Amino acid sequence: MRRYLDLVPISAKVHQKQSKMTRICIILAVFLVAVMFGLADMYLQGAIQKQMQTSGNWHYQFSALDADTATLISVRPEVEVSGWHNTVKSDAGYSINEQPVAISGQDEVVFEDIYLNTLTEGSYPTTENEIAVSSSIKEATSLELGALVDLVRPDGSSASFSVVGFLDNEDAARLVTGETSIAVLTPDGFDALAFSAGSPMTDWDYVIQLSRRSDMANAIADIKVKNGLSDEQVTANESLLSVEGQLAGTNVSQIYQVALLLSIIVMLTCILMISSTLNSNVMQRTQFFGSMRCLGATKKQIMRFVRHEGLHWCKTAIPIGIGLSIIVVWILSAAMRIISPQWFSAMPVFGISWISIVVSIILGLLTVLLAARSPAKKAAKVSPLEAVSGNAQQVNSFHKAANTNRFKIETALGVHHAKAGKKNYILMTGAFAICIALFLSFTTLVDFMKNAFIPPEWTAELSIVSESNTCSIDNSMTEAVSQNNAVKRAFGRMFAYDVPAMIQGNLSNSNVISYEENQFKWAEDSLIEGSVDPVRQKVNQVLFVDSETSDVHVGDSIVLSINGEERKVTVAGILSDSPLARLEGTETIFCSEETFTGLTGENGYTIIDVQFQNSASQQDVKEVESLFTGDVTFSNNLSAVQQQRNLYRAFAVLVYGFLSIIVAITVFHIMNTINMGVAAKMKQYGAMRAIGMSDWQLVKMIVAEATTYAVSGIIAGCIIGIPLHWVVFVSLITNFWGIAWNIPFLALGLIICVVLLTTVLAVRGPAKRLHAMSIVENISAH
Amino acid sequence: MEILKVQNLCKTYGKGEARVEALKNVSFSMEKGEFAAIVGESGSGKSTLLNCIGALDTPTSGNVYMDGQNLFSMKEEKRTIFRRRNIGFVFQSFQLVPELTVEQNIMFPLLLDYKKPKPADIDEILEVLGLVDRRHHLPNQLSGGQQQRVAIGRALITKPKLILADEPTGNLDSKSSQDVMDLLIQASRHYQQTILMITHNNNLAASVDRVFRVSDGILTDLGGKANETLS
Repeated sequence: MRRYLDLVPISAKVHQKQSKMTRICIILAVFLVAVMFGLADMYLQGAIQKQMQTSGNWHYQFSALDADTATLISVRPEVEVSGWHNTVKSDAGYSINEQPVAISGQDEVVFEDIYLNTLTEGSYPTTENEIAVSSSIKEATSLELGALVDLVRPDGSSASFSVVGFLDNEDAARLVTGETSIAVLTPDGFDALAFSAGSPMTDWDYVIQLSRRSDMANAIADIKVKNGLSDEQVTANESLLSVEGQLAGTNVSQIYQVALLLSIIVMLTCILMISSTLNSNVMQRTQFFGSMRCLGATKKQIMRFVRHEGLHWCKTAIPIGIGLSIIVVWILSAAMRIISPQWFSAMPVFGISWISIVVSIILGLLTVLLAARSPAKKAAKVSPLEAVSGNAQQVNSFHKAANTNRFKIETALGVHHAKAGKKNYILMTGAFAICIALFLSFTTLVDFMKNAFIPPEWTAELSIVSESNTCSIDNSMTEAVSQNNAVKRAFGRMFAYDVPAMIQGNLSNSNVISYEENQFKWAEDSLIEGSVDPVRQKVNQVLFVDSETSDVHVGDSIVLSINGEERKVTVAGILSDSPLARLEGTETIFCSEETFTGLTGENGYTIIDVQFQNSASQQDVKEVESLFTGDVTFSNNLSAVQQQRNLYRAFAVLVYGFLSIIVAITVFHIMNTINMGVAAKMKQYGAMRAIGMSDWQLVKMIVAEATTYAVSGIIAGCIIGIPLHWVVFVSLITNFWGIAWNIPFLALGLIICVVLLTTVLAVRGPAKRLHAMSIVENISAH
Repeated sequence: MEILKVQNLCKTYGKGEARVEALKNVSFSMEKGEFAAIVGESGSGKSTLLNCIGALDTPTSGNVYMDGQNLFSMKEEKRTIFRRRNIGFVFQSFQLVPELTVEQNIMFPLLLDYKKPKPADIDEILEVLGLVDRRHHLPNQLSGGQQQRVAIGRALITKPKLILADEPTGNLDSKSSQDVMDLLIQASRHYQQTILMITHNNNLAASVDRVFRVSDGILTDLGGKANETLS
């Protein structure tokens, strides 16, 4: 041992059991922060990758640029790759072997680094008479490398090229959006084809890729000013800029702000958790610190000692936390890729997020140092006298006596134990409160997820629409469609468009639509006045969709002019909105099928909507489509809806996973807190047992203490958590979907139950331990 | 009248080579109102004996009868209640409850029994202890001697049949030690309480009725009025 701080690892070895909880807390803190940042990073890397694959890795595109300006732009330090790019769509009339082709001209660097293309065979064209074509052309026209092909122009003339390479069909689609049959030329070759009149360069676009580390918004503003470019000349790749966090004021940046807020709450929780375990740890070793003071250690040295202890634990805790987080991120990424490949296929398989590692190390150390401040001060305050007097437990000197008049003695002592040490009380209550606040904040993600990713209940995977927009589909077809096992439900609507309606003396235009049972049920959610039932059960009763142009109320009559006859209907309910009321100036009226037939004489459907079972495939859709012949069009959204559901499931794994971690932290923290509290008061409990306190009374005393923390924590948790829930809810949900905030009673009830149940269960362990201990052992416990 | 009867009490710690016999077949009895002292070297087994008699620790074998009732044939909960009603403890380090006042500490065993203490009893004890003006003070506002007097008050409040004192003057100066001794003697004479006290102080042992010596776990009865024996 060369210096007194070398005592830290020696003391840590001896007190390994006591410091276990502190080490677990540090591991948890590092783990949580690393998982949050790691997952965000993986998602971001995946999202950027996906965006690049969709639109190419370019940030800005300039049109009508001269060669000199292009050179000036290309030499700027923030520009990493740049080059000319020009395309012609396949419908322009160019063809190879009578196969229409789109043409794309650019240098190899633009082809590879900006449009992320690779050649499956051969090499990129280097001279103006060389060409590379997509694999689909190769297959359709049986081309081989080195072959000469004629590229026929729209005017019938042709140019001859030597085939030097073949490209991947999917990658090639990035060069000319939506095309798969593509021919690639050098810029010179493209110009030589001379399909455009005048100066060839004026039609070319100049694309640039900027450095990820640069401030792109500033860079582009500077490029515009210095080169006198107008806004029309510059096109931004907004989707890529947005996921790269380079576009201010986008939804993405708002979501990041919320993520940052949640990270700070996680940090705070960890600081409180570590601080309270360190505190208990210090309190248990009062005599040790007292002895050090006796031997001549200054207060500063004791504080340094406690801080070094914290940092010493970090040596093992931080790598463990990071290691665990990497594994969990891999598992979660894999789960997300499997559940929703359409959205997350680009997420790295075994990605390492260096940002998360660096951030978690820094935050971990910072958390421990911040958390160690108060315990370090506490340890430094231990007087040498306390160590030698053997009355170390009185370090927590009381200023007020317990109130034994109001409660039974054990309850009074328990409540007093909790409240006597103000700092400790605030720390413990704060820790409980922050767990509740954390849970409440994160539950908004469930609402966010539901609103963002779950398709509305009425969403149809397949719509069969009358081609003439009339009631031309036989109503028995819903029955026929429902016979298919893959179909969950099928329902139809009859439409009468542009029906003149006399509403409160004013003539309006209206659409009358029939609803059946399912649709009436869904309509109930948006009912703001009256009832849906009369419309279901009686004829000539209707639902009216609220609009700005009319002031209709329940009981009002509407006179409809249908087929030259005037028919009166009564409004039984008002709906706030409907997915079918989209035309401004046209009122929307819903009625039962019976009423509709009575009004119009029609009984066929205009639209049949089909919802499929989860396992349905495109084959099932085809089977349903085959039931219809002529006069109908199909709108097949099966894959889009399934993708959306999968995205929801992937997010649900994340969100519920995170909520479970938070609940686990809460449970662990409460258990730990109560355990520590009991351990710190062992000797005192021993004395009480010696005087005659029974084990049952002892348990009641610990329960009273734990409940005091829990109840105060719940109150403080509501005071902090509910406004926080409001802030997160408004920025994540109200801002996007206009849904009003409500007190989250369900989430609140759930977390309160978890807290109270855990508190009661947490007492079991220490109570059993105390019970198993003899009183003599108990009194002499340190 | 026999209040305490200890029969063949043995206490062993550890196993094999680490086995230590702290008490070896200890047997003795005490009459009502008798004041006895236990003397012996450090580590001789005095505290172990006292802890076993007070049911704070369980003997390996043997029996302890209090007023004819075998302490170790009772169930844990019943024994605790019996102990708080019939045995008073005075420890060297006082073991007061720091968050209770002098008055509350004294009535603590009654409160554990959910009994309402009679104000007259409390006043009387405070008077005897000389702590009337300190009744609302917390332990950390008292001197060592005062704290030990509170501990004696706490031991006396239930009017127990037996008071066990483990070096009650070990942490006190000579003046406070004498005060504490006077109080214990007064309790023994005035309330006819049986007292068993561990002490290292031969002068204090001189003022008791009977002295036991414990050496290597073996108890020897040195007889009554032991000033001649000890000298």
